Amino acid sequence: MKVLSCFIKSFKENLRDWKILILAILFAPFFVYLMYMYLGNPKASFYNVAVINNDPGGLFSKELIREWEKMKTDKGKPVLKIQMVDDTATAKKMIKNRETDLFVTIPGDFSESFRTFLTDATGSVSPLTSYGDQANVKYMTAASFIDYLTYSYLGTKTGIELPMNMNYEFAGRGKILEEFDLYIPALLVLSIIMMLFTAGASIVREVEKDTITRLTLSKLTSAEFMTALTVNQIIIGLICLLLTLFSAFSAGYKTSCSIPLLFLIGALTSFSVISISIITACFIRTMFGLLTLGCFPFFILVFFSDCFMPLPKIDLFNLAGNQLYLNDILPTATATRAINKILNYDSTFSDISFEFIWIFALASVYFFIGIWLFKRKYKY
Amino acid sequence: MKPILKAESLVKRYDDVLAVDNISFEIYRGEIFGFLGPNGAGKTTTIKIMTGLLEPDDGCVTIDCEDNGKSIGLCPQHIVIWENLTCLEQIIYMGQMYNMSLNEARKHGEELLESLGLYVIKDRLAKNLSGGMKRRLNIALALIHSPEILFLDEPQAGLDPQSRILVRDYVRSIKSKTTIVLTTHDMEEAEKLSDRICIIDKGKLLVSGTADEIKKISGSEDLIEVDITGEVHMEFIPFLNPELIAGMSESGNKISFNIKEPVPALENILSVVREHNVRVNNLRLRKNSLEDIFISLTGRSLRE
Repeated sequence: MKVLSCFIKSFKENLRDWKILILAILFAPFFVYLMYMYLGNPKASFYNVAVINNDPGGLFSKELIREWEKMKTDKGKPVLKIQMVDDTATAKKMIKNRETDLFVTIPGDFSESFRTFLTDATGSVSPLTSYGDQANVKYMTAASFIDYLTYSYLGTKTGIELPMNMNYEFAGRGKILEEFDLYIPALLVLSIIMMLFTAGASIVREVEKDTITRLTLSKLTSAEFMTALTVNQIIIGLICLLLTLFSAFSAGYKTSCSIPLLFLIGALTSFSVISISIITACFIRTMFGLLTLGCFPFFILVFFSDCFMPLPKIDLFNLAGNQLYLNDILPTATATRAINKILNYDSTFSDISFEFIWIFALASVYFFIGIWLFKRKYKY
Repeated sequence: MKPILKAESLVKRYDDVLAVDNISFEIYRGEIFGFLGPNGAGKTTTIKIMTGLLEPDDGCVTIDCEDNGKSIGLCPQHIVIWENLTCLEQIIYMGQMYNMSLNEARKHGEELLESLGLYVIKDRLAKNLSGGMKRRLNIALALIHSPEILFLDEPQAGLDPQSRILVRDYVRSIKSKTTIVLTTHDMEEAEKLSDRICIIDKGKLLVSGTADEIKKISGSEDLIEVDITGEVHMEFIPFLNPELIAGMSESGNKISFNIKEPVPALENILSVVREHNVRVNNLRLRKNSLEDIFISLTGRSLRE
C-alpha cells in the first residue's frame, strides 16, 4: 500500500515537473531524426567522389565514369556521387574539408593505353590514382566501390576473368543494413540513459526540500521508497523507449524483431540506469547539481554505450565463452549490443541470454551499492 | 509523574564544536515545553537527537509511547513540503506513510486542513501557496498521524498576526492529546503557550521551569528603566541602596534596574540620580519579562 502511494506520488511529481520529463522523453527521438537527416536520408547516404579526368576526349574514360555512376542501392538510389573537378588543388582541398570522400585522377593516356592493350594485347593500362583521408571511414568504402567497379569494367571489356571472385553476403535480416540502422539500438539505449535525470530528480528533490526527513520519521522504509521509485522510473523508461522506437519507424527504420523481448531488455536497462542514478544522487544535494554535475555520469554512459560513436573494443576477459570488453562494466554498453542483436539480427532470448544475465548482475550490483550509499548518507 | 520523554546527559560534538553539552531534562505528557535559546545554541541539534534523526555522542533519550514509530511528529523550522503535490494529496500521502488507510488519511487530513484554515485551497499545488499557507501546511504534515509528541521548531516564523493566533489556538487545542515541544525566539509567544520552559545556550541548559519560576531567578519581578540624556556616568551606582536594587544593566542611554520593592527603589534611584546631576528623560516601571531573563542569561552579543 505504501509502495503504491509512493509510486503514485512520484508519478504525479514527475508529470508536474514536466520540464525534466520532456527533456528525458524527447532527447532520444530528437537524435533519431538528427541521425536520419545525416545517415538515414537516401539523399545523404551516398559517397562523394571527386574526379579529374585528364582524358576528357577518351571513350573509355567516359564509359568508366558512367559505370561508376550506374551503381545503385537496392532502393534504386545512386551509391557514388561523382563530381568532376578541374584541378588537383581544388580536389585536395575538398578532401581536407570533408566535402568529398575520395579523389580519383584518370590519366591523360587512359583511353589510348587501354585501346592499345585491347588491340595489340601489349603494354598495360595507365593506372588511376586515388587520394583520400584514411581517418574518414567513407574514404575506404568509396575506394573499395571504385576498385570493384573499375576491375569489373576492365574484365567485361577485355574478357579476362579473375581466377576468383568474392561473394558478398550481408548480415542482418536478409537486407542490407544501413549506417542509420546501426545507430537505432544505441539511440534506444540513449532514451533510457536519459532517465538518469528523472530518476535522480526523484531522489534529489526529496533531499533538496528535506522531505526525506519526513519520510525518515515515517514508517516508509528505504526499500519501499526505492521499490516505488524503481517501478515508476521503469515505466517512464519504457515510455521513452517506445517513443524513440516510433520515431525510428517514422524515419523509415524497419525491424521484425520480438517487441516483448526488446521491452524486457529495455526494462532491465532502465533498472540499471536507475541504479546508477541512485549512486549519482547520493553525491548531489540540489536539482541544479543534478543538471550540472549529473552530466558527467550521463556523458560517460552515452560515450561508452556507443550512442554517438562506435568505440574500438578493449578486451576485458572471457566469461563462459563470451568475450567481455572494458565498456561492458557499464550495463548500458552491453544493452546496446543486446538491442542491436534483437533489432537488426532478429535474435531470440537464447541468443542474448548472456547479455541479459550480465546486465541483470551488473544492475543488481550497482543497485545495492546505491542503496548502501543512500542509507549511509541519509540514515534512512 | 512519569515523563513521556527523558533526555539524559546528551552530548553532541561537530568536529571541534560542542553543540550539545551534557543536557538533561524531562518532558511530561500533555504539557507544552518551550525550548528557548539564541541562534546556534544547540536547539535544533537537541531536537534532532530527540526525534532520532541524529545519534548523540553520549547520553540517551527515552520515549514512553505505545508505538515509537508513530509517536513523533516534527514540524521543522524551514518549510518541508512537496511543491508539486496539492495540500490534500501530500497530507494523505504522509498519512499513508504512517500506515493510515486512504479514507482515514483523507478524513483526518481534511479536518486538519480545516482547522488550520487550508481547506478551501486543499486542491491547490503547494508551490502556488503563499508563505503563510506553506507554514501552516508544514504544521499539518507533522500532525496527520496524531503523534504523541510534536516538535514544533519555530512554527510561527513568517506568519501574519491572524495566522499566529490561528496556530496558537490550534496548538492549545491539541495539547490534551499531544505533548508539544516548542522552540521559538518569540518570548511572548513562548510565555503564552508553554507550561514549562528551558533556556539553553552554547549547548548548555541554563535554566528550566515555569515562566514565573524563571522570572524569579533574577531576584526580582519588577524593573525600572531610566532613559538619561548624554553619556551614562556610572559614578552614582555605589550610592544606590543594594537592599532595594537586585541588579542592573545598561544599554545606550538606558539603564535597567531589577528592583525588589518598587516605591522605595524608585525614590532611591531618583534621589541618587538628582544628587549626581544626571538628567532623566523618561522613566518606566514594568514587570520583568521572559526576554529580560533570556538576555540576562545569554547576553547581548549577536550569534551566528
